[in-house]
Amino acid sequence: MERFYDYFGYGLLSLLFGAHLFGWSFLDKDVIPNVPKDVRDNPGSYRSVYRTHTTWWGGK
Amino acid sequence: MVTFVAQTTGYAVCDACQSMLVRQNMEVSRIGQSAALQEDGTPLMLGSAGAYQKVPFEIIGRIQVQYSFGFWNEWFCLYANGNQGWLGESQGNYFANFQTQVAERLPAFEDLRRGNNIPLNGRLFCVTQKQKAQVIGCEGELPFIMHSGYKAPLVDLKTETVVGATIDYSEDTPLVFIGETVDFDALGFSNLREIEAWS
Amino acid sequence: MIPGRKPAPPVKVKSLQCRACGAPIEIRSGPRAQVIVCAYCDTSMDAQDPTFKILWQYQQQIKFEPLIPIGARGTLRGELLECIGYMRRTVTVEGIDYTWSEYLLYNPFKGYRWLTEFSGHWSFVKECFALPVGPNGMVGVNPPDTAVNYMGLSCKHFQSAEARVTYCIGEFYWHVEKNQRNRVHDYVSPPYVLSAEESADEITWSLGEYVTAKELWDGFKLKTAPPAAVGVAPNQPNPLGNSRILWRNFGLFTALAFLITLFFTMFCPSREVFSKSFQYYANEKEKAQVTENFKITGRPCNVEIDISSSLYNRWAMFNMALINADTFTAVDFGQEVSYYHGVEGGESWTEGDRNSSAVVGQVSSGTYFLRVDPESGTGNSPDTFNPQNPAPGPEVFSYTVKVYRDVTQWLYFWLVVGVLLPLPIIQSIRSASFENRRWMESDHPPVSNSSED
Repeated sequence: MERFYDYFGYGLLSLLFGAHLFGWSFLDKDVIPNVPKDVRDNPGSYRSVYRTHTTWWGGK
Repeated sequence: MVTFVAQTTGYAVCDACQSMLVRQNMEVSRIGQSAALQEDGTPLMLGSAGAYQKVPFEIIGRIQVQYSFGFWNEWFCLYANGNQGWLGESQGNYFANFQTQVAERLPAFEDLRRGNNIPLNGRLFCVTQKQKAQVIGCEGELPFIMHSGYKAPLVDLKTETVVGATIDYSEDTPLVFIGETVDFDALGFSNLREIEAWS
Repeated sequence: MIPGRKPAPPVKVKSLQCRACGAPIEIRSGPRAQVIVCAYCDTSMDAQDPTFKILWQYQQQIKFEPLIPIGARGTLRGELLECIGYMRRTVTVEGIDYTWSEYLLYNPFKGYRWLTEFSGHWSFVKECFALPVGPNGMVGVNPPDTAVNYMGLSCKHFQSAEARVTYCIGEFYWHVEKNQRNRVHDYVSPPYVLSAEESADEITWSLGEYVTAKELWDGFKLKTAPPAAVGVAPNQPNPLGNSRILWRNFGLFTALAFLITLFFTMFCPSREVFSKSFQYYANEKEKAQVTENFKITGRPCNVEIDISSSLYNRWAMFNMALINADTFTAVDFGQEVSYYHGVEGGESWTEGDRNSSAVVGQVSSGTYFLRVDPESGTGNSPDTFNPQNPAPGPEVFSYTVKVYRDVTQWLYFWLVVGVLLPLPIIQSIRSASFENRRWMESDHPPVSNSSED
């Protein structure tokens, strides 16, 4: 049991180090390639997937 | 025939006739008779050898005593460095001890009770047993002799370590023996008595 | 070596015939035996008497078979020992009888040892030659009911009771008798149990160590099955006693996690790479906006985008995209804020957070810009553009977007601590439960909060 906890602890510490070093994040995100080149002039030409996020609608 | 091995011991018991002898200067005289010792199943005998605190010893004498719980032997040991000591042995337990001068004035035998703490050379000892043990007999060479049938007033004391003591109130001046309980293996015995079925 | 002296004759094995029933009995401890009890007819005889005169005749006894047979030889802890006697003793505590077995083991050179067995739990016992130290010094008389220290081992008082012999067969080195009573005191320091036994002349102390039945059965090469161990023995080692080690390691891991995170805070400090303020108009047709380019440098690590707003009694959802100006790849994510305030019954209340942040991971260095597309409303649906009245309307709230590079997340430190915490807690609870069961049977049972029937 102590050995398992040891491995577990050191494993978590390695993960922690990696998370800090590589900047891992839990963020719920989407990677969208090929954003339209005219987005600077026409911000509306590109719509995020997160639009009409429903939580504020009370979940219904 | 009796052989005196140690330079300074004064007494011996003849192997053949159990006569108790005393040696003064170059003269040997008979002072009494030892009763035959009882068979007590001890693995030790005269001539058994061991070592205590890295100093080898040989057993050259014995006093056999009867307590309420059975037999007790005090084996007289001659050490290779010339020291003389004792090995109390009973029921498979071994107590290496030496007669010691103590600085303190000792209480009388009658005044001691179980549980009393008394200092011996500055160290506290606790009385664990107080008995009049009956002497059965002696053999070999001894620094003092005890007559068979004599009831020796003895007090056993222990400490918080394996160090212990026995006070013999036979004489006007009590004799104090301080020593420690030692494991059989630690004594490294040789020339033990043969015990059938345990060779 | 004394010349000419013959060695003492060997100690011979003797046997006798039971004075009552004639059964052959081998005397295993020779002249050291004081009492011999015939296993067949339960007659006890004086072994020191040349005629082995009868002391007691225990009739109509239920026969108990010792699990380690009398005469069996085995090796325990490096010592060759022979079982020579078996007895059973009982204490009565609060009206309940507890009976245990004791096996007398013998080696003519090393002396006597004992094995005790209770509910399938065994201890290997040796006599002590040092005195334990109690609260009033060396315990020569009156064993205390608190704790004693034996040769550096601290032992807690477990139980004091009067034990009586209820059965005995074989050989013993003292005058054992059925119904003989002795006051017994036990102190424990698992796996050890220190026992004091009071007799008329003295107190005998002995130290027992918990041994598994397997070790005994292997040592004595017994073919039978040992009895199952039931309950928790006073000196049984706690199998979950490692909770202390777990807690120590937890402390160590927490400290290391802290140091690692601190290291990154100090040597990889965060820096602001971009900041811009915006205004939100409820009736703006196209609320989405795009920022200027900004540079993100350094190793691929995180980027934190913080929003602070001046919201009042409304919510806002920011649909964001971090777009790479060279590759035109976007990372889409969202952030939400809300803030409500009111007064009810004289009490002012607030709800929600006007600020939020999102952390985008593993962003390579390069040139980036942000696209921010806010949605906001006072109720369930967001503000919608009213084409009849196309003016954007007054500013409803403003918000500032700040972009930081390489922000050390302390949340991860807390997550590591949180994940490491349950195991030592569980082990401590289980270990405490085990100790509870141990002490339930003692003179000092744990006090429970609930009332007892």
